[in-house]
This record gives sequence, structure tokens and C-alpha cells, in this order.
Amino acid sequence: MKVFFSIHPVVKRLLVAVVLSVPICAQTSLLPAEQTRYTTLPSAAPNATGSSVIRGPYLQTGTPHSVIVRWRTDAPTDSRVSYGDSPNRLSFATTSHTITTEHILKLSNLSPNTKYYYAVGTSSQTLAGGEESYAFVTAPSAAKPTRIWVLGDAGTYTDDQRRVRDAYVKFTGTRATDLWLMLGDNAYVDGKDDEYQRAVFDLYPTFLRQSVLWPTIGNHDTAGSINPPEDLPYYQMFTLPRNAEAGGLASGTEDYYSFDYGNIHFVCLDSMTSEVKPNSPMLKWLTSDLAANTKQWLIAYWHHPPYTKGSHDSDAEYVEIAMREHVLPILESYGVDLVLSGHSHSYERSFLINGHYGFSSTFSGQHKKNGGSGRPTESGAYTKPTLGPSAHEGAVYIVAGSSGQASGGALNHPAMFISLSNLGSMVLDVDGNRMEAKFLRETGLVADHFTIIKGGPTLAQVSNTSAASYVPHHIAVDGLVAAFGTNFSTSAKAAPALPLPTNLNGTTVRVKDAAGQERAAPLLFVSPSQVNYQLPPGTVAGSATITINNANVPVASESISIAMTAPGLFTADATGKGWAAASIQRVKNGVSKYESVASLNAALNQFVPHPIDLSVEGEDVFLLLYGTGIRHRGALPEVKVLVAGIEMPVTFAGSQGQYIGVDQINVRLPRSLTGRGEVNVTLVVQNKPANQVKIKLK
Amino acid sequence: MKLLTKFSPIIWLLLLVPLQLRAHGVTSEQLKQLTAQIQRTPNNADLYLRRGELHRQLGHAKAALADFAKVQALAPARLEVDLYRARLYLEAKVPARAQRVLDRYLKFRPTHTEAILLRAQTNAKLGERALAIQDYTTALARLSQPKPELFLARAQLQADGKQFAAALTGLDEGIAKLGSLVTLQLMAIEVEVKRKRWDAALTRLDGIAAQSERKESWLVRRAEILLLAERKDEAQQTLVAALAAIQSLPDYLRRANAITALAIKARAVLQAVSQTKKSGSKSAPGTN
Repeated sequence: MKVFFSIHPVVKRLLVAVVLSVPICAQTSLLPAEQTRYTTLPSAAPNATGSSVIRGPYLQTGTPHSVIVRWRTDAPTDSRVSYGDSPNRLSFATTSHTITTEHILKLSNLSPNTKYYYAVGTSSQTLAGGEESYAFVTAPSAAKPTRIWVLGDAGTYTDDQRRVRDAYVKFTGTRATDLWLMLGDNAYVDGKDDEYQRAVFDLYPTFLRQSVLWPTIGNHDTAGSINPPEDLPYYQMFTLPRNAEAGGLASGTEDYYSFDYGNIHFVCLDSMTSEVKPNSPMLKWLTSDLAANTKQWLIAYWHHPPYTKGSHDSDAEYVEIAMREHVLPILESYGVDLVLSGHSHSYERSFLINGHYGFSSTFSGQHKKNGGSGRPTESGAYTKPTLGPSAHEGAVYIVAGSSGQASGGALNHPAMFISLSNLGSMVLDVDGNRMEAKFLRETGLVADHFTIIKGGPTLAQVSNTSAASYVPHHIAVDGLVAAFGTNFSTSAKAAPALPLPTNLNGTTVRVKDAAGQERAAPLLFVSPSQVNYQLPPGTVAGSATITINNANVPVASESISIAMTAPGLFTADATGKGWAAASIQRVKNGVSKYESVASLNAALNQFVPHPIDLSVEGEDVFLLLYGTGIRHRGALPEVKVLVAGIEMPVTFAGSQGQYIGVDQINVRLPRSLTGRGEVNVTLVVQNKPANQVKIKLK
Repeated sequence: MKLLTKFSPIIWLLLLVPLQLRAHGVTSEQLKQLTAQIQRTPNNADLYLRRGELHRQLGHAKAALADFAKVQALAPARLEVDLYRARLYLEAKVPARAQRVLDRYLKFRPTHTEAILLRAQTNAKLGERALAIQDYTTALARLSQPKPELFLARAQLQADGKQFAAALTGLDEGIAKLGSLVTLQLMAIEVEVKRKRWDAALTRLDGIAAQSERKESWLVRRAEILLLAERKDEAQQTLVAALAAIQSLPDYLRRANAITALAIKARAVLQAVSQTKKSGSKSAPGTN
């Protein structure tokens, strides 16, 4: 049971003697400050007092017009931030005369999307800054290309953590990080002040002074307590918006809050210390906050993941279950695009999904708004029809908790497109209606990426059927498939030769299987409304997503379930009904002769049967049926063939060998069938019936 | 160790089932390390306390209680062990035991805020409303930036006991301290409505609406209150304004399920108002 609520964090400052008598919305945590415009610069004099900066500076609660600068000194001093448009022209200053070691100053009246250089120190000395790397860019008041760095469970203070950081430093190069998120467990083991110093402030000094950090609280930030005390280091070191200082609706607490950046609304929730159940304060606030949102993108984050099979299991742990059951319906009804969490030390990324609030066993294709990879070069970007936070158009859920360690796990949650036990961090780039997301490994490799486009076209429906029987979704490993839809190709074309091509007339088919592998399918035939293909060899049974692309543009997608067997029999007229597409083999004295079961009568323009003569003395007669979805049948007795309702001996069932994807079943026809006339042939493989076909017996 | 012998299997089941769900790799590793340390220094009470807490986090209730008992045996002055026990009992839905150990702890540490809050929750679960309210009030007085949840929990207890005036006073105390939060104001509106202080409820609602760029949901709620007050003309006008506000939203916002539902509700209420006005009925339509 989760304790009902926590003691609220006070961002009381250890050594701050004076408390502001300003309204709550003016950041009670801030030191009283005065703003100055210099006519002459303050001197960056040597440090006469001997105090020096031992933490930061770091940036908090950035808005288009303000930012909070914090730092710690080893001895109490007053506080000043000087700032301006170049390192050598810090024309403005904000000063507090309160003597403290924890310095918290809010710079106000700034211009949106503007770069400011700054220095921190005392009223008489500069202690740090006044150089190129001490600079920040204020949040924009409208959309702008935005880079977001996301770290989850980073705070191990190990080489692993450093490698993840260094990979991002190399990756981003001169591209500034506009803001960064920490998904909890930011400093192991107990979130103590010295642990934060090592794992956060000493690890990311440049990012901390250049970009605003927006953290959420994890179990290791509270030392496991769901009722942490006021003086918890996390609460003391961060200054987060509790009164809508950066947009959104006031939550009244730093445990959960929201903020805006350009065209993105961020919601930070608390899965550790706040109650999560219907009508609990956090969820009431969330509902009101989202009802007031007008931003185009909606990104939510918290620590405990709603879907994971990593070092934690979202089927078994009640916080994860509560977040999934109670938070996701609200977020999805207000059009969330991306949900980020940590806790499991892995990278797990979902399809574009919607409406799954149960255990993993209940996840199915119906929850996939798009079951492809989300990659423009493969199955296509995830497209959401509405340019804004519209309900239930799908979201991507990500566990990104491997920024400090990778801990494995089953990594088999069916909602996930990909699950990796690798170190790394996430990079999000939002530009207008497009979001590019990458999982950047500690090696520098981009191990996953996807794109969400809002206001874009959605993929058309496609019906994937057995190429023999045309039964929808009756598809087996290595089987042949016929897909029906529209805009598949500009014209009809059959594969000219073996091996089968994977691109025919500009059309490609990609199959993402249950193991997360995506492969191009060998194509037999394409036309504007039909594509025939073989499931790519290596595709495993289970849920899969099939995407059809025309001229590299995804045009249709469908989530299906692939079985080991899904028997279908070809028919002479290729309708899946009527006369079997079969042969008769007559063996006498070791010599075989073949004849067809039916052939086209040009005059009638239809297939007519050839009555099968079983009366020849000393002759063995076999019916050779052709189909697909049969070869992985298990033992031969798993294959049953009934002719005229009588079970016949099956002598072979397996790959035909010559034609790709085609299977063959050999059945001995006894003389006792003589005179039966037109009869039905029924094939059952592993208790699964195929389409019924006919033959005619003399 | 005395405590352990008193437990019935059912209590153990209650203790164990919900807590088994918390396994965590890092914590498990810590547990191993602590056990190794205890083997080296078996009389170190602090190690038992830390391991007991880890056991609690991992859902090992029996092991946690055994470690806490060991702490008490090794260092009887370590009173905080009762606080650790209380957390465990409360999580395990055994509030009577939590109350007992918290009472004992608070006798010696009467100003310990977390303990007071834990006891407030414990008393609330035991139905000891007055004691719970008292503990919340004590804790709130001690916190300089309490979480809104605390004001809400106390107000809920007061409202449950029909102490509406006290509930409102408490919520306003929270609003004065934390700002005009939507969570606090919405509950205050509920209480005002229960007291049929319609104008007071509407004033609070207007205060919330003023904070929000989008007004449609607040307008619908306003209309609902006006209907309860049988001010049908005003309700009708407000509903028309709410529907206009919804209509003026960009398409992507208007299509959100919540907004679609809101519009349906507004239209239904509007229709009901129109009908009752026509029929001259005095009964207010259902407002859900």
C-alpha cells in the first residue's frame, strides 16, 4: 500500500537567514534580490573573502522571460548574478544581500529565445563565469527547433554514466541543448547531498550552467521513502515551478508540475511520493492542467514506467500498475504524444499505441495505432492526424533508465517495438510538427530512432490474407501472403525471376516480427490493389506489423498474428474455392505419370475437373495438393486429409521445394473411392482446417 | 522479537502480499552488501536498521521486523525504530499496530513531523477522525511549505464529519500558504456547494477560471452550480457561453475526448434547462 501522501518538500535553504515576504507565486525560495543596470562593469577582482563556488552554477525554472540561477559556495557570502549579451559586457545584475552558501537568484525581464552570458559571485567579486561557456538561451515564446536530452537513472557515478554523457557531448557537438530532463534516481544510492554532488553536479557542470534541468523524483532520490522529509536533498537543491511560473496550471508542489517550452507542454508527475488513484490531488491537478493546455506537443514524464519488462515488471509492481491504470487514460484523452520514464535500467520503446491499461498479456494489435518502426526509411514515421494534442491518436512510451547502468530483464513487453539492455540516453528534436527521437548508446551508436509527425496523413488499412485461401490473417511462418488495399503500386508487375526481388515497381513490404526484427519481404506480384509476397525467412511466430510502401512512402499498415501453421490450399481458378490446384501421380512398376485435376476450358471460360480413374490394376494413385502455411506442421500425423469425409493416408507434407513458399501434401487415394464423383477434400494441420477444395472421381 | 509471535497467518499474508511487488535490483544488491557487513560486525544496530528498511522496501516484512527487533535489542535508545515499524504496518494495512508504535514514539519525540503525519494517516484509516484532524493540524503548523494533499486530507475528514466551516477555513489556510491552487479551490467549491453558499462557490470558481487561458470546463461547472441554485437564466447563458468557448477552440482541441464529452454534457444540461423553463418545473435537472 502506498502511504496516502508525503510531507511536502520545502525548498528551504540551509543557510538562508531571510525569508521573502513576497506572494507565493514569486518563489518563496528565492533570495531577496535587487536588479541593477551597470554603467560600469563590476570588477572581477580576486577572491578577497576566500570563498569559492563548490556547486554550479546551475539553471532552474527557465521561462521566456526569466531563469533561476543557483550555486553553492564553501563560505557564506551575499549573491550576485551579472549578465549581458557578451561575456565581456555583463551589463545587468541581480543581487541579494542575504548571506548564505546556497545562492538562488531569479533573473527577470529577459527577452525570449535570447542568449545571455553571465557570471556569479558576490556583490564585490566574480567567483565564476564571465566566459563563453557561462551562457544560456531563454525559452522561446513560440515554436522553435528544440533539442532535449533525457537521462534516466543516471546517477551511478561510474564510468558507465560518464560514457553515456561523453557520447552525448560528442553527438550534440555545437548544437546547444535547449533543456534536459532527469527521469529520477538521479543520484545513487539514497539521493544524499554528497551523492548528488558526485553524480550530478560534478558530472554535468557544463550542461547545468547552460541549460535548464527539469528533474523528476525517483525511489533512490528519497532513499526509498514514500513520505520523505522536508529536508530531503532533492527538495533543497532544485527550484521547480509549483505555481505555474513556467506555464501550465499551478500544482502547489514541486513533486509534480508542468511547464511550457515553445510549442511543447511538459508534464512532470510524481510516481514516488504522491498518491495515484482516481480523484487524488495529483490527478485532479493533471486533468485541470491538460484541459488548459494549448500547446501542440504533450510530453509527460515520471519515474515508474507504465510498461516495462526490464529490471522491473509493470505487471507485478503496484506503482507501475497504478500509473498505467489511472494516469494513462487521462493523458491519452488529452492527446499525449510521448511518455518517458526510468526505473528499469534498460531502453524499451513502444509502438505508437493507445488504450492499453491492463497487464501485458492483454496487449494486442488493437492497441497499436501504428505497429511499424516509426522510422521514415522503414515502415514510415508515426503520423498523428491532428496538429495538436488530440485524444487517443497514439503515444510512444519509453523506458530510458539506462543512463547509468544496464540491468537486463526479460525485455519482452509486447507493447514495445524494441527493448535493449544497453547504456544510453535519449535525444529528442522537436521542430514544428515533427519529433525525431533517438536512443544514443554510450558507444555513440544510435541504437533506435523514430519520428512522430503531427497533422500528417495516416496509413490506410490493408488486409493480409493467405495467398492460397484468402482467409484474412491466416498467415504462417514462411508462408505466402496476398495483401489487398489501395495505392500499393502504380501498375501491375510480376517478379521476373528468382531470387524474388524485395522491391518491385517501387513497392516494398516490410515485416516487423515479435522478436523486434524488421525484414523486407520477397515479392511475387504487385499491383495498385494487391501485393503477393512471402513472409521473409527468419520471421518468427507471434504478433507482427506489415507495412507496404510505395515509392518509399508508407501507404498501408496492419498488425497481425503470425502462426507456425496456417494451412491454405491453392485452387485451380485462384479463388480459394472450387477445384483443387492439384496433380495426380500414378505409379506403376516404379514409373510415375502425372495428370492435372482440373484445367481451363477456354470455351466455357472456366475450370473443369478431370475425373480421376482409380480402377487401374497394380497402380498406386496419389493426390498431390499444393498450399501454403503447412511446412511447420510438426509430426506427420498432425496432418489429416479427408476425401469425401474419409481420412486418407498422408505420405508427405512439407515444402514443395521448387516454388518459394509453396507446400505440398501427398495423399494416397484408394480404389474404394471409385465412383464417388465430385467430392470435397478437407485438409487439417495441427487441428487448423484449410479452405475446402474439390476433386472429381471417376 | 515479541511482536513476531503475535502475528497471525492472516496478518502475515496481509503484510507480505502487497509488499512483494517491490523487488529492485539495486536494492537487492545493497541488501547483500549489508548482510555481509552484519556478518563482520554483528552488533552494529545501524546496519540492522538499514537492512530492515531495505527489507521493507523489498517487501520482506518478516525479515524487516526481525531486523528492527534486533536494533531494539542492541540499542534500546534507538527510538526511531518504531517509526520504521509504523511505515511498514501502515503500508501493510495494519493501522492499529502502526498507531500503537507511533503513539509510543511520539511520547518521546512529540515534534517529529513525519511521525505526526503518519499517525494522522493511521488515525484516518482507523476512523479516528478527530485525532486524525488534530494530527494534520499539528503537522501543518510545523511545515513551512506543506503539500496541498495535506490540506485536502484534513478538509476531507472535516467535510466527512460535516464540519464544513472548519474544512473551508483549513482550505483557505492552504490557499493563503500555497496560492489559489485548483485542487484546493475545487474542494472548497464542493464544500461551499454542500453549504448552499452559491455565490461563494461561484467566486472561487471565477478565481480558478481567471488563471486559465481556456474557460470552457469552468463555464460548464459554473452552470452546474447555477442550476443547483435554481438560477436557470444565468445557467442557460453560461452554458451558451461554454458551448461558444468550445466552438471557438481549434479543431484539434475541440476533438479531444474530454472536450467532446464536455460539449455533450453542456448541450444536455442546456436542453434540460430549456425544458424545465418551458414546463415551469422548479426542480433542477440532473447535472451529473
